Amino acid sequence: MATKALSRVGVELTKREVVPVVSKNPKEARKNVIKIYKEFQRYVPTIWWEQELRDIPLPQFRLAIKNQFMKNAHLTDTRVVDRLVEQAKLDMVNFRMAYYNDVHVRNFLFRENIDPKPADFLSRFFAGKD
Amino acid sequence: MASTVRASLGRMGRLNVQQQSLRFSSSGLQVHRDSAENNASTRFTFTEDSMKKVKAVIGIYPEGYHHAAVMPVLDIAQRQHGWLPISAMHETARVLDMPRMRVYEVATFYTMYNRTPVGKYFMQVCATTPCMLRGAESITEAITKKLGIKPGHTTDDGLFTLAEVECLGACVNAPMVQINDDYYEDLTTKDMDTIIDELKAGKKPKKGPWSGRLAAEPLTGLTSLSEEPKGPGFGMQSGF
Amino acid sequence: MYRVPQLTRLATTGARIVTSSARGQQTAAAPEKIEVFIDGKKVLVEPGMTILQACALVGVDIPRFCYHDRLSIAGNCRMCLVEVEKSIKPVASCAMPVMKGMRVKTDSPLTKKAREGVMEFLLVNHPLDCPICDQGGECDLQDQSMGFGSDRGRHQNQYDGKRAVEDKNMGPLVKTSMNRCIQCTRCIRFANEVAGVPDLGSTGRGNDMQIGTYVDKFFASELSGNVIDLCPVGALTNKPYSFMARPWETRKTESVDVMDALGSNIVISHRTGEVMRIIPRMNDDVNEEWISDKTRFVTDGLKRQRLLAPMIKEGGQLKQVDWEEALYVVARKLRQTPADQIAGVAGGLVDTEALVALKDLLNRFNCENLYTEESFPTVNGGGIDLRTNYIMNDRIMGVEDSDALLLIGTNPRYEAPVFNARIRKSFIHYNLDVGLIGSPVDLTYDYDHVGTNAKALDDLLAGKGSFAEKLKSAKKPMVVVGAGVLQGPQGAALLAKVHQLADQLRSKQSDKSWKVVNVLQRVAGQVAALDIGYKPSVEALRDGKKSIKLLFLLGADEASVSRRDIGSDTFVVYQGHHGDAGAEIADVILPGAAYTEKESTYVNTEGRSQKTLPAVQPPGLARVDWKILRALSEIAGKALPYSSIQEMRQRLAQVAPHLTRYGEVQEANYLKQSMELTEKSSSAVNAELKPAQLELADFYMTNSITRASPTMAECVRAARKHQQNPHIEQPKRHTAASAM
Repeated sequence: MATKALSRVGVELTKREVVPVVSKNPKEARKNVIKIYKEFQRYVPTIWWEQELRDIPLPQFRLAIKNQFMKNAHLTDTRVVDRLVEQAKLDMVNFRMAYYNDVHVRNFLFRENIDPKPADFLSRFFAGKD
Repeated sequence: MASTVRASLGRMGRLNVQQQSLRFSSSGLQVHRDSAENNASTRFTFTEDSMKKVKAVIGIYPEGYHHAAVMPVLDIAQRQHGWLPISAMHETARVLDMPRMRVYEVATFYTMYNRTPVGKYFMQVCATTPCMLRGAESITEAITKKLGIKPGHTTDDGLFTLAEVECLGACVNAPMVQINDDYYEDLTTKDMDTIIDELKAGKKPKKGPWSGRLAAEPLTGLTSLSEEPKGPGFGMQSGF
Repeated sequence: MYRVPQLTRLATTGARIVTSSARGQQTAAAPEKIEVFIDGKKVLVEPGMTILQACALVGVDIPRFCYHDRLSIAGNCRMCLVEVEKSIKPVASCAMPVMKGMRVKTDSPLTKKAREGVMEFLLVNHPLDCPICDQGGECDLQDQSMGFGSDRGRHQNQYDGKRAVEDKNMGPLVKTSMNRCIQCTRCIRFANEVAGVPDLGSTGRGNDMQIGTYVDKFFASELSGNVIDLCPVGALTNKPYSFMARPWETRKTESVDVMDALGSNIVISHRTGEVMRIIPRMNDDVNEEWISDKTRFVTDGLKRQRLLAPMIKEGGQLKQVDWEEALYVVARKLRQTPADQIAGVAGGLVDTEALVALKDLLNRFNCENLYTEESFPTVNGGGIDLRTNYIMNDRIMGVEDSDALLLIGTNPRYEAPVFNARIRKSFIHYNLDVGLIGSPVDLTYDYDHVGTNAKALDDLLAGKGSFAEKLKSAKKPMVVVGAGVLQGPQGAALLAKVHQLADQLRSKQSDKSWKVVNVLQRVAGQVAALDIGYKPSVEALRDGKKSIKLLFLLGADEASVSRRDIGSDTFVVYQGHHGDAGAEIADVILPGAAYTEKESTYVNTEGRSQKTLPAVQPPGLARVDWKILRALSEIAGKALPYSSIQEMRQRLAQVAPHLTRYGEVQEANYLKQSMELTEKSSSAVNAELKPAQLELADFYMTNSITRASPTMAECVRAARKHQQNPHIEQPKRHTAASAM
């Protein structure tokens, strides 16, 4: 019990600082991001060729990947960035194992089969019952 | 045909068939089936005499509660007609100003309201335990042999209907039969035949016990009241 | 039966326990409460209560089959047996009144044994029908055997067998499977007391007891469907709904009914986008727990004759088009036609939102020609400007407080069956005297037939006649005039006479909130339309003074305006949900939604605004009515300022605040001004007051939905055949005593 009290006191004495899990500073996080980004871009031609996505021009594909990464460019918290890097690594695994088919890629990256939601009254009226 | 049916059903089957016919013979069908003689247009009106009795009965009950008279009025209707057609129930409902369903309910509750035609002489043989111990089944058999009808059926000439009913309250004088309103008690099969013959001839058979005793006297002789009653002053001091 | 917790049910009906036919005047001082101990808990109850009701106050639910709080007490199921200290035998709690210091034990071993025993007996003769029985899942017997019965029975089926009872034919609505009947006699008591049709009874006794009509009779009542809710087992079930769905797989949507102007609260059971059935919701102010047959069985009319796509008439033939084209055509016509040549006619089933939207739309085009199909006099009593003139001012509940009721030119039995049930309830229990001016019909209660002609009103005004005496001496007289007889050329004069009579009766009143004059509307949308400002008759269109080039028919299906009236070059736009008379003459058809498919507002005949909720989507390309009008307005260039239901409701509140105050009735006043605006005349009105619906066969098909329903057609056929039935009784005197 004495040790517990001491450790509690110790925690209070030290400055409250967030301890990152994977990367120790933003620079390292950035390096990890760029690493996974490069891995994606290197793998893109394989997906593009093998999964019947050849009707989309390859530069368009690369741009889509880039946009996905740029979407989160504003984040500063290293832990969040680490988490997203982990998710990107999982996505990479899914691509390699062909768990993602062309339909998924089309719907997610290019939003192909998704019609825009009608915004104003008339378009909602004509589109259907809401 | 009945015997082959019985034989094919086996012992259990025979019992069930017997039970069914017994059950429906006393209370009948509890739903109304329109038939040629019993439908809403069967003629029924109260005669003058019946109407007088009906009015007398209704007069017992206060205004607004005339529907309490439904049981006696239905009985008057049954006595007038012999049995109770549906139009008699309608007429009763009309006279007493009550919904017809209430009359139906009363008429179906009591087994003495005959809702199907019965013969001129409605022979009801008591078939419960005390009478059975004294041979009521043989009485029924005697009637069956003589008239050729089974319990629940009527003869072709419409004179006799046979039914096996519950205890008629004359257990001391078992076996007995109730024909219309009269009890014929202490019967033997020969007595039963005699009664039927007399009824066919149009005569009135002797009512009450046929064994010669008076009402429920002990058969072996009176054990009490065997002397003349004592006169006044019996057992009192001579001074009085 | 839509389950309502016993406690809330009792809380709303506790005061009106029916134990005897006592006079309706509420006693001034509440009787002193007595203390009763239920499972050790002390509770103070009023002395007339039964143990079952007292337990419900505490929260203890005693199982029962035959007891129903709106019917008389029978006490024949014996499931409610509880142990009462000092009593050797368990006591039927539904029938035993509480006594001071009574100790009731509802969870003692004796009570449990009694319940298990009763349940065992009930199940001895009950068939093993659960898989094929419609009541499975909502069956009282199932629930109570799980809750209070034992796990096994001693019945030996191979030796004893189960009793079999033949099924009775009660008509095309109620399916009977009398094997399952447990002889609770709820249906008999309902038919006898509430419906007023004493055709059901229990014939025979013991094992041979049969519940039915004894003779082959159709259960000829407009409230016959309610026995389906009452029956605790699957003996009486909904015939059109048989084998369709199980209660746990249906979703329930609370809504309001539009078949008559009462606005009975209903629950729509639906599953996978299809309406399965309609059952009542409890609302003590409007419909208690009953709904009429039309309300209940109209579900298959909602699926037939539906308008599924917009159509335009080309070359004499209606052709299906899409929404853009149809709305464009109408919008163009709207812009091109001059304002005084446009007109709108609203039918009886239209909701308030659509009415407001149509009025807003046409008003934006400077058109004021908006009419309702159902007429109402525009002079006398303030016309449609004063609300007291066209609603039931004393409310539906007022019938229970009233002691003399005069019905003029209405047959409430078929125009508003649940209202009639309430009048009957007051007649039996609260000693209401009823007088009728109009055709002598069987109303299920006795009434003074004052006359068939409106001239009888003058007699009443002069005080001649026995009913006039009753009216004069009544403390709360009510005069209900049917909206049907207020139509036509004599309607205004009749309304004036009614107001005169009401004023005379009112002047004797000390209670200023009792209005006496009431109007019983026939269609659900009429009060809302009049509240919003629709002109109440189509005569202006028919007399030819206006030449109408563009006619909007909003659900107008009663053929009040025909091609001959308006001319062959009029462009008719019909917006509605069924292909009936209106769609026949239309040049453009815009498919709308029925009352089960939209979130809408309906105002009932008392002025109570109630909300419906959508249970299913409108079929095909149909859309909600107000949204069609809003889209039309946008295409026509003058967009209405609301795009969502909330904004629509705000607009409704702007027009008339009571329209969005759901469930409340706003007091309508200005009776003095209403009298000032009435032409008092001494000459009698000579008009035969014949209501439109005189017999049961007239009841079933009154609007576009019921006309499309095959069930309703079967009912009409059965009702007509029933008249040839030799077993029908002539309508006789009904007395309060015969209901007991």
